[in-house]
Amino acid sequence: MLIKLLPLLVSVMVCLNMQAQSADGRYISRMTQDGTLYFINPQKLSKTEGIKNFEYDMTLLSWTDSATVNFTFRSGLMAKPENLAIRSGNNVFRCDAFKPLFIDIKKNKYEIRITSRFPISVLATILDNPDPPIFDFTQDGIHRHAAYSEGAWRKDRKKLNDIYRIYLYSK
Amino acid sequence: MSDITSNNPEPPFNQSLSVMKKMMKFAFACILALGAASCATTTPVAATSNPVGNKCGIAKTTTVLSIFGGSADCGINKAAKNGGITRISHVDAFQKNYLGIVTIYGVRVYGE
Repeated sequence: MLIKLLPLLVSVMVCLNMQAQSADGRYISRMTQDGTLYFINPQKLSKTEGIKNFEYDMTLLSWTDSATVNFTFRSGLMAKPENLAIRSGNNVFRCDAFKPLFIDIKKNKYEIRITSRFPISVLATILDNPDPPIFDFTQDGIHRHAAYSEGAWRKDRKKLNDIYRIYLYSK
Repeated sequence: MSDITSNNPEPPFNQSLSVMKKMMKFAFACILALGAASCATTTPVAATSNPVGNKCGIAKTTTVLSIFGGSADCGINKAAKNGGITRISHVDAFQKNYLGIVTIYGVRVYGE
């Protein structure tokens, strides 16, 4: 009986999971004294060069015009990133306001966490672009990058756009 | 004799019974699927008198069948470090379960 039910279960599951295309679960929001805080849950980027386990999260505050982007990665080099930028299509958005939060040893690599700030207009431009954004930086002069795959960006871009619209609504 | 019995069609009552059985099986499968699809819960852990602040940090770990994985640090300290938080306002714990196979546990820390 279970074997007969299995294809049915799988097809119902697929239908239910198609609802996962919504931004629900992709972010959380909090009321504060100054306005609303939107925290966009961590997202792992699969296409990396020279680093591993790149994951970023974002915080939007309705009372400011900037987005805090924190990201973590593992590297064999214990060196602070330099020349941080996000590339989106032909646009390159350099960031001067970034600093390390911590560096930890994880097995035989270093886990480095960086906090950075970008103007909200940069986020809007990135979300407008169907090309996946690329995090670019150097470590000791060695180039590193992390990017979405095309399919992952197509799905996540829609969710991020919905969250951005909610953020604009709450300003 | 056997030819006569095998040519007799199923009585209408038995036909509706088998349709009913199929509908019950389908309903049972849907309930199982809904229950097992995914479920997510968020529960409070702690609250302090510090202001909510403008930062949020998260730490999580993933297990498979509660046997594999689950070795990542998903404590309050790690979440606070990830958010760059030095004054904690409050902490929530969350759990997300997929089909009873993959479970994600974690905490979310708010503060400044």
